[in-house]
Parts: sequence; C-alpha cells; structure tokens
Amino acid sequence: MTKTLQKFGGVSGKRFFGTNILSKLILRELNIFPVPGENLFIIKGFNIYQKGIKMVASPRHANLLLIAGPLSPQLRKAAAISYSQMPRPRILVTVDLQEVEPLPRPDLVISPGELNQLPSKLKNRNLWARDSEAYRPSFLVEEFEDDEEKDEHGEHNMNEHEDHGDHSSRDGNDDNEENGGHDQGGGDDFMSMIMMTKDMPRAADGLPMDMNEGRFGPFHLGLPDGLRIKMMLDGDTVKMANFEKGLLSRHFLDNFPKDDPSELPGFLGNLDPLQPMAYKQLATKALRNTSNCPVNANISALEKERIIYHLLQIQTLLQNVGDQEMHFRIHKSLRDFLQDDSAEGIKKNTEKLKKRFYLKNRLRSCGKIPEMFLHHVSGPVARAAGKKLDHRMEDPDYAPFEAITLSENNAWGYLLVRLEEISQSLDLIKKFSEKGSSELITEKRTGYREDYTGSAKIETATGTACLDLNIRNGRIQKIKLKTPSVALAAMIPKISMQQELSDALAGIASLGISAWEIDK
Amino acid sequence: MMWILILVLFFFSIYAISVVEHWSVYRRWDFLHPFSAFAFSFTQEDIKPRMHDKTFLQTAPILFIVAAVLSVGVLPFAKDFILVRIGTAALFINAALAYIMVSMVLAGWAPNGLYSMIGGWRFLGQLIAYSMPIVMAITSTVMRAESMNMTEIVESQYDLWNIIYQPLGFILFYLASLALAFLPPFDIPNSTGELSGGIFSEYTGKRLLVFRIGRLILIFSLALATANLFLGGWYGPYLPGFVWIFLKTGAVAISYFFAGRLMPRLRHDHTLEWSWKYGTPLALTNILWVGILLLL
Repeated sequence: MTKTLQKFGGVSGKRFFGTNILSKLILRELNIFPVPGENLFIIKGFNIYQKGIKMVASPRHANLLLIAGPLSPQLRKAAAISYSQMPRPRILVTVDLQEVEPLPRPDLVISPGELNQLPSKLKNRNLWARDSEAYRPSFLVEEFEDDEEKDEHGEHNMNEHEDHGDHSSRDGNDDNEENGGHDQGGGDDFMSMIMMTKDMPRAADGLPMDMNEGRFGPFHLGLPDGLRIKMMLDGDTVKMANFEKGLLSRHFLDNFPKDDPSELPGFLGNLDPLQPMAYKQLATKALRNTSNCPVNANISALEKERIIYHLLQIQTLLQNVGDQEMHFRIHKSLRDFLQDDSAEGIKKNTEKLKKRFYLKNRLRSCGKIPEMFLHHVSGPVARAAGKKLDHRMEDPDYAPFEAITLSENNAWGYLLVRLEEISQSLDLIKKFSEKGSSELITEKRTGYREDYTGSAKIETATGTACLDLNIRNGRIQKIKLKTPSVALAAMIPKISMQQELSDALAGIASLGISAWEIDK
Repeated sequence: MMWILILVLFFFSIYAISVVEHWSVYRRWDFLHPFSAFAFSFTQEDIKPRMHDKTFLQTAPILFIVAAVLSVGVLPFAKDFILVRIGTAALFINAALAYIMVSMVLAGWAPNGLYSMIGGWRFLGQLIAYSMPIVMAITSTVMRAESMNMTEIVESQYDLWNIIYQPLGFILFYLASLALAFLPPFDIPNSTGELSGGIFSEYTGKRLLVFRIGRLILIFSLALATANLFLGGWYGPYLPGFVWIFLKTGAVAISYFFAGRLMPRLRHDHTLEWSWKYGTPLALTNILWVGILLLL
C-alpha cells in the first residue's frame, strides 16, 4: 500500500493515473538536504555516495529534508526555514527525533541504523496530495508581516520595489529569502554617477560601492555543520565576517548532573556528537582527580575519534574547494574505517592528498591567523603555525609523545598537520592495542572526594579542552568548560577580512571548528 | 531519414552526457538518472523568490537554452548535414556563445539572491576572460582553412587534423570550453561547496530544468565544435562521417568530466589570471605559429 505525504509535502492536486509510477521514478533518487550537515550523518554510518541518494547544497534543489539532533532552538527555526524554502513535493525525515517543532510532524522517523535503507523506505510513497498546502510557520509569518510593515513606512528604497516587481507574484513558499534586494541606485530622472554614489560606503580601494550582507550556513555543505557565518561583502571581497552567536546556544551545561558525579561523563559525552569520547574522557579525567581509584584514558578510542573527526573536516574542506575526486576517496576511506577499522584507504589517500595537484596553491593564501592572535588557539591550527601546543605531551597516558608542528600558518598547513596526525593516531592505536585494553576507563566509579576543586584537560581533535569542576559534599556545585572551537570561531573575522569570498570560506572550513562546542 | 538518425543520435548524446556527468559527481552509473531527474524537476513546484526580477527570471532560462542551441545550428553533423549553412559560421559560434554570458548574468541577477548574484558576476568575469582564447583559437583554424565556413574548416583538416597542426590552439580551446560551460575545475559560478549552487541556487522546477537541459546542450555544442575545429570533423576510417562526428563529440564531452576530477576548483583570481596572463598571449602565439606554418 502506498503511503501519502503529510499535508505540507505533497504536490497539490488530484491524483491521476500514473502518479504512483511518477512518484516511484522521482523517488528513485532522493535529493537530500541534510540538517545540520553531512558530517553528523556520515558519523552515524550514512553512505552519501550510495545508490538512490544525492546530497544537495540548496533546499531549493531538494525533495527530502533529513534532520538529526541535537539541534538548538534557533537551529530548529533555521531548519523550518529550509523546509519552507523547499519546493513541493518534499519529504521530512528525522533520525530519532519525534518532535521537531516548529517543523511539522515528520513523514518518517528512522534510527541511525536505518539511514542506508532510506531510499527503500520511501520508494512506495505517493507524492501527490489533494489537500496539500504551503508551509508557513508562525514565526516566519510574523517576521514577514514586520518586514511588510517596515516597507509601508517607507523604510526601504521605493525604487527597489518598482524595479523588482510586486510582492503578489511570490507564492506561499518563497518568503524566506535572507538576502536584501539589489539596489539599483537611481530612478528615472538623470542623475550623475557622482550623485548616485555620493552616500555609498567606500571599498578598500576607495571606490564607492554597495555592500551586500549575506549569510553562509548553518546548513552549508562546505562549512562545519550548524555554523552560520554572517558576511558583509564588497563585491566578491569580504569586508566583515563573523559567526552568528545565539544560533548554536543549547544551554547545555545548565542541566549538568548535580547529585551524581558519576553521571557527568555520560552527560558531557552528549556535548559534541562528533567527539563524544573526548568529552566523556575529559569528565572522567576531572573526576579521576577526585576519586580514590585512578583510571587511564582509553587512548585507542580517543585516537580513533580524532582520525574520524580529522577526516570529516578534510572532507568538508574538499567539498568547499570543489575537489570531487578526493572528496569521494576520503569519504570511502572514512566509511571503511568506521565499518571495520580498515586503515589502508586512509594511508593511501592521505598520501595522495599531500601531492594533490594545485591544492597547495589553492589553500596557501587562506586562513592565515595574525601572529598576535595565535596564542588564543590550540589544536592542529596552532601546531601548523609552529606552536608546540598539544596536551598529549603532558598526559602521562601518552608518554612518550611528540607533537607534530609545522611552520605553515594557513589552510594548507592545517590540512597537512591533520594528515600527519591521522598517521600518528593510527600508530598510537596500534601501539595501545598491542598493550591490551585492560586499562580502559570505567564510567561508574564511587569514592569521590567530598570537597574538591580542580580541573582536567584533554586534547580533542579541535584543540585543548579544559573542564573546571567544583564538588562540595559529594555533589557537583559548578562546572566550567572551555572548548577549543570557541577560540577558533573567534578567528573567523581575523582570517576573512579583505579576503576573496572563496578564500574566506575555505579558510573558515580549514579551521576545523565543531559548532557543537560553541554553546553561545 | 538521415536527419532523423542525426536527431536520435543528438538526443542520445545529451542523455549520455547527463549519465556521465552524474557518474562524475556521484561515482555510480545510473542509466535511468536523466529520466528521474526530468520527472523530479518537471513536477517540482516553481518557486519565485521574493522581490525577484520578473522579466529576467522568465527570460534567462530561455535565452540560455536558445544560445546553446544556436551554436549547434551552425556546426556540421556530417559533410552535408548542417542545420544552417552560413559563410561566417565560425564567427557565429562565438557570437552565440556570448549570449550564454548574457543569460547567465541575467539568471544570477533575477532571483534577488546573494549566491546567485555572486555566481553571475563570477561567470561574467570568467567568460570575458575565456572568450579571448576561444575566439583566437577559432581564428587560427579559420586562418588555415582561409574561410569561416565550417565545412571548409573541416575540409582543411583532411590531411592533418588541427589537433596536430596547432596543438596549442586545441588545448586553449578545450580549457576555455570547460570555463564556458562552467565545468570543474572552472565551476566557480555554480559551486556547490561555496555558493550552494551559485547562479542556479534559487531556481526550481521547470526553470531549473531548462537550465539543466541547456547546459547539457551547451556541453554538447562545445564538444561538437571541438570535434569540427580540431579533430577533423567527419573524417575517419571505415565508419560513416556522421558516426565519426558523434564519436568524437562524445569522447570530448566525456573527457570534460574526467578533466574536472584531476584538481580542485580554481580560485577566481587564478581563473582570470591564467586566461589574461597566459591564455591570451598563448592564443596569440598560436596565431603566429599557424601564420608561420602557412607561409612556409
């Protein structure tokens, strides 16, 4: 029996003879717009190159919105906007999320294990629905009403309206453009160029030029999942760029487990879905100092996670710079590694990437962090710039350990360090697997000191994370977490200023930011 | 009868280009992909973005496909099989391709979206830069044939194909064709990882379908032009001329997608720099080279 789509998703109109066949033909290949991005699904085992799947970069070109959590309330709103931008027929599928307010009820809820069966699960849907209607979430309607009110009060240039046609021509789904209109800068009467450009802002070269404000993300295939960059563009040059605060705010740490400290590792492990092990072990380390029975870190698991994270970041960067071949190869290597820890593909393709034609030229001018700000950052970015900052050097579990450093303060350097660290991590996994896994951490421990204040550090794939812990009477009073991505995100304006748009975007992608670490 | 056969081969070529392009991006063969993509776009809701430019939004896709088809019109499919026989065909190809630029700039402007607008600007810069190597490479083939007539240009290669006679011209024309069809590594105007589809990012439904079909025709027309201008057109052993034309065109079109996998996308400034600083002087050198050969 064929199932129909919900009222917002179907093609409006009567079903006719052949709609089932047509639906089948369309659903042979699902055009997926992933929310919050590809990486979260890949880490869950999703093969983005499988038959019947096509990842698309714009919701306009998608017929399936695939959502996985955790999502902040603002990201949910952004997802709702993306859904409303999608033309019908459109399908809403969530992974383990029953409620996705303000989005409508999902057409299908699947588990991560079912991701690769998505095409077969949807193949019998009929895409036509008689009662189909436009999706207009209330918050969006309010925003547009406000906009229209402003228009009526003449806050916009009237020429803009005349030049771009009337508002009545738009239909129900198209009210979600974030970008402003093109200013024509003139009317019917003759006006000299000097008059026309009199009040326009000046570009770096002194020429009067209209600036464009644009947003990239939060579901941008060439940027870290969930990260939205707001840019002021002077032509193709970035005048100003910064990540949007508030969008990622989940207030995660507000709900930390106060009564039972042993729940902290599990809790903190949910902070970053791309690096659960690192944060779990950070909490364990912090608690270790309070406990009477010390534990050793599970280095194999940590290093495996580091490899996966680095590969995901490299894949995002390759997507950004348009290297389709290497993107495919890295994805394949990553999948092999996720499935059976096979490292052959990784070794082969990381070597290939180092020698990739033109890649060095493409990346060397991107992502350069000014020297005076380098002390703020840690991780592969700092090490590429020559800073020997790696907490693993101080960690007795790793001893002896030598950090990889380079003197390439640019996107190419960041990439090279990641590639080298992948090889290093593979060696570490081998070494610690040989030692045996008897020293694995155990989460449930008892015997925490009654009163304790202290901190622990761990080297995540993005940099050094630090957790401050305050325990009183066996209860956690206060925790403070310092994540490396916050400092990396703060570098966005520094590396983007006066760069070409494509260089700025490649630079941002090369930082390897994890948006989940930014709870702001 | 022959024209029906050519028409069938033309549609088959468009279908084949679509299948290969799909393979080049998604790395799997899907021979039904063109049909499902057609059904998808055809049934998809047409969305007009907010505060769009009505006229440009309607005309840009049509202008694009018309410009792509126009250039096919003057290119021979076999010795006596040209849709429109004009004496200045070589010049006409260039003129028709110039309208691609116009349509793309209009397409970028029309939706009133930042990504598409930047894509449009980028294409404008790219096409102006690569028009020079294209027109100069065509000029050198015209010099050898001493005619702008496409039949005579092909006939001038009876003894020696232009790819051997003027390899530099071929390389320049080939690379400029990639830039003109915004194929990787020249896909800056419609990059997915940067501009979420660029020029086409706001287009949906039938408008997007027209663009996609237009682009396939554009790739075909550029490959057909390469086959005629540099690969000896219909000349070849054993098989009929029109088969040779389609084989050569298909081979060139397929090679476009393989070439795009060899490197990352070019930076915008490198794209322009390579054309103005190296491409155009090399194209002039090629003209000089052909001139010397003709004088010898």
